[in-house]
Amino acid sequence: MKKVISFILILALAAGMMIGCGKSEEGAADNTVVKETDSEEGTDAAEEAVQETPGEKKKLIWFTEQMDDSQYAKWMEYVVTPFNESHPDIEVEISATADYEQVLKVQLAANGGPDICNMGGPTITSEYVEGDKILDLTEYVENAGLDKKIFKWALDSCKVNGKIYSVPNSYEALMLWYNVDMFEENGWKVPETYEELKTVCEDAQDKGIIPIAFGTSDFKAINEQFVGVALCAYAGRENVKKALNGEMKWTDPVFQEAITTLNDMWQAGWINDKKSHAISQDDGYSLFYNQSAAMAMTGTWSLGTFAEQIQDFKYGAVAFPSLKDGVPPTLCMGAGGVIAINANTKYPDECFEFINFLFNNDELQAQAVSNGLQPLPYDMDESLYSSDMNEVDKEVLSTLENSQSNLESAGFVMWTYWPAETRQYMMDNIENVYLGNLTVEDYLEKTQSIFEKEFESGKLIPVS
Amino acid sequence: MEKRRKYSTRRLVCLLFILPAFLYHALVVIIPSLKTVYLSFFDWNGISEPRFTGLQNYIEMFTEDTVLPIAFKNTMVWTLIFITIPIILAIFVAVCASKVKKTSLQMFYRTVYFLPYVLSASIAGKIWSNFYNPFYGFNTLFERLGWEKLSEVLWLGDQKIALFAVAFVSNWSWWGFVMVLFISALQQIDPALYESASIDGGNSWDCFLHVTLPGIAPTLVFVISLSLMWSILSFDFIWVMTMGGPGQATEMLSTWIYKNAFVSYRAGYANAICVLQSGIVLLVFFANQKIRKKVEDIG
Amino acid sequence: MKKTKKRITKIMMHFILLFLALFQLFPLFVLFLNSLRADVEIKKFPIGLPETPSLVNYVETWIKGGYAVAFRNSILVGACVIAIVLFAASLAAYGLAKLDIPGKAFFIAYFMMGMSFPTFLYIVPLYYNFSQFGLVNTRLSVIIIYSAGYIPFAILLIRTFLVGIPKELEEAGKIDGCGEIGVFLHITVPLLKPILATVSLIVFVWCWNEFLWSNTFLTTDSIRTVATRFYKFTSEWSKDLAKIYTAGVITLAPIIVLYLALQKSFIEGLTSGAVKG
Repeated sequence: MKKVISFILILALAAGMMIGCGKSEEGAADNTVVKETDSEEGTDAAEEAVQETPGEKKKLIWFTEQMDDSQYAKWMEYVVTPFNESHPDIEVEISATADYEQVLKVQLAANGGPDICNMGGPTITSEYVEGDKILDLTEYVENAGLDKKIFKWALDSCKVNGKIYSVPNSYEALMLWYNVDMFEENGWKVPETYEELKTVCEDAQDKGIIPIAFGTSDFKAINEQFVGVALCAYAGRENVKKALNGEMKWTDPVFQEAITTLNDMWQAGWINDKKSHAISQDDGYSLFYNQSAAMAMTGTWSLGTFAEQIQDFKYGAVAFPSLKDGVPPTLCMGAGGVIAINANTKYPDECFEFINFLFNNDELQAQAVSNGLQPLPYDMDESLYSSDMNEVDKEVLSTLENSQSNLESAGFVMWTYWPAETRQYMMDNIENVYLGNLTVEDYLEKTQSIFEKEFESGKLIPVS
Repeated sequence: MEKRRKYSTRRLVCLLFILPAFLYHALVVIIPSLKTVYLSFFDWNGISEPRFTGLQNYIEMFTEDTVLPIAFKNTMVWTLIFITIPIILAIFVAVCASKVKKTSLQMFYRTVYFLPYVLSASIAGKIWSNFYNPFYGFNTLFERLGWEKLSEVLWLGDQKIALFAVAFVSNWSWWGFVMVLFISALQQIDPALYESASIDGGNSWDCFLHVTLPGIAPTLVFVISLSLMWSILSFDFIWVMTMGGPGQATEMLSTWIYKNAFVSYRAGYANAICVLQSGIVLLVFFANQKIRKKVEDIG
Repeated sequence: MKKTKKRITKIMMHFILLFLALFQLFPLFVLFLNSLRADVEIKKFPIGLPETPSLVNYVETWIKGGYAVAFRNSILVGACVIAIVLFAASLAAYGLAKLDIPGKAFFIAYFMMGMSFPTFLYIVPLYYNFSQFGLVNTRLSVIIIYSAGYIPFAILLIRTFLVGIPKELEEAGKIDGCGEIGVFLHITVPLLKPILATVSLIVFVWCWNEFLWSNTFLTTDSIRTVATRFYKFTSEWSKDLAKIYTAGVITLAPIIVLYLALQKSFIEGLTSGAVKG
């Protein structure tokens, strides 16, 4: 009893203090510490922005996903440095961090954070829009004419309640990468149909080769790659579109069969020998690099990495084979990420100026793309690409670009087109289907019920 | 009258000893936590304005959430592992090590056993994940040794094994710490007690039961309470090594909270689970206090 | 007969102790060896001696990871946290162990509870508050959080230690005419030295290893601590296992060295108890 009273006392005391003394927080800290740290903090980015005096540069922090040194160098060389040089009064600084979306969320929620923010995809932005944490860019985009420049589907995907809150910063497609040399040696045909895929995979397994390299243990979200691809390659673009627009149910037999086929592929060991869930993403790819695997599943964003990592053999990439007769091979395509502006930034105009610069910087952009950065979602003049570009890169990029002239044959990647919670459920739980914890029926039924809830909320953007 | 006033001022001076730590901690930890409790009654995505929904989050927790029971079960299994294996191992080794006559050797053992505890979970977890890797890890070694069955085990990929595989690593880093606590307790025991016990004709097991165990009882209670609370809250190794997978095989309360709060934009709901988790810890804590009292009374 | 049995038990005991020691050290050996190997070697076989040992990994990792700055930050943060924790915790622990404080049970309960407080319970609201005070993205933010977070543990550890010290010492002090504070300063603090060293060590190690808070509160490279740096580095270089192992060694080495150097006072602090003093 005494303990319970003690506990209530704790609560009462703390509650009292919550009202009373917010400011003693600093006072409680050791005084010497405050001084010591303050003097160190003088040069800090965040503080400089606050104590800005006229004549000084306006400092903008651009928050991005984790990147390695060479990527960082490329962004600096082709985008940030040219921008800073042509805008003497502004200075953009890249800030990259691990788990950047989680960090960003906490920061923006507290009305702080960077000025310009990269985000994983348009579905995420709606959460920020709800809290007025990011700026409405509609006017900016229209005034700058970017709405005419950026691919319509890509910009549409960024709309929330009919307004543009972010701008797509790349576009990409999921592909099946294969080891050209290995395919030739074994006399395999690059698969275009399920039967052909089956032949290759089974023969590879007989020879002790892993058919398709894929690892998810450190990043469960990439399970969505196979889910999206299987749905498009089995049910076809039109059916998926209908489902996304609420005209068809996810429980429809065609989707049941699609997921069942995917599950069969996994159970047969085609997808990383039934071990995709036990190894990390990079471990998966390195099986492809060291020729333990014949194929690999990833997107066009891997171009730069593959070019760096693979020297011993020739490789290529194709759209994932059709999984059902009558459905053409579908290139699942979408926006890679988006770029948005913090609603609490001091310099919204300057922030947009930077975004605008990204899209009006063709020559440098082309060089950046030839050097392994992802293409921005607008029609880039191919002649600007540097001539010594890697063969595979050229081929893959043109596949990607060609998909734009023939959208009717392109599929959808989940991270651009799927509503947030439906996507979350599907990518989190496909592993449970593989592992036998969940039946395909239950999986799709729950998907459908989540989708219906989201669909009824009216927040979804129609997919065209 | 005079005497009484003097007494109470003295007590107040005594209070000054504790106030800095208490106020500081309450301000930084407790007050924000209370805000979290408050927000558990809201529908909140972590970004926009919270919307009051009463007990909705709690109702969902017990009716709709299919993952929570699994997370709860896993947490219980994990807890069971950590209040038994490392403690038994630590007591056993502490008794053994304290019998080592050579001081330098004894020191060496202590130092080595304790070492993993000072390593950060993220690095240790990374190293062990590599060992568990089916393509580059231990399995390669087992294959060379001809241990077919072992070489095919997916340590972190098999739903029946993953939790134990992670617990194994967590234990690797944890038990040495526990052992050092026990060794220090053992050294507080008056050697005369052992002597009188052996004069009475007791064997070493009797010695252990009647001298060692009572001697380390307060430490044992402390360690058990620590293990209980830390294992209910444990997060690092699991997150680094499996992120709750495969499927939901290593999902714990903490990973499920993390996923809701930071991955899927359900901060309000995560807060509610957090309150549940803290409630359990608190319960354990009070239960433990009772037992602790009893043990101290007996001692 | 009895003697041989005893001998066998003894040998068994030594065997077990040795085996456990190897078991504890094995991953660290592998970590160290792999930091000297090339990525290709490691991927071929995870355990082995380097074919051509080289320190290239170290040079590259040290520079690319920005470890010089990170080390300075971690040490600064660690030192400040230790100062605060030692000051507040030793006072409080003394109070709880030796003095007649009103609501003692409450305070002990409070700190027991505080020790195992779930981090997620206060990270978001705290971020709001710190943001209002302009503390986010300063080293001071993590100093405040760490010291507050580690105080309960320090108090309980020191208190356990103090309870083991016989009352006679302090009573003798009081007879000599010292007040509460006098007894504390002249008698208790000198006895506390070993346990304070232990607390410092543990607190420092925790500061060094801590990841979740520092990654959230420190976003500029110039103020990042070592663990955050390690994490950032691993996600940048996840393809190159050798570099990750090297970063692991760089991150762990100071802790291991510190631990080995201070282990004497550390273990004494936990064990000796100053009963004879």
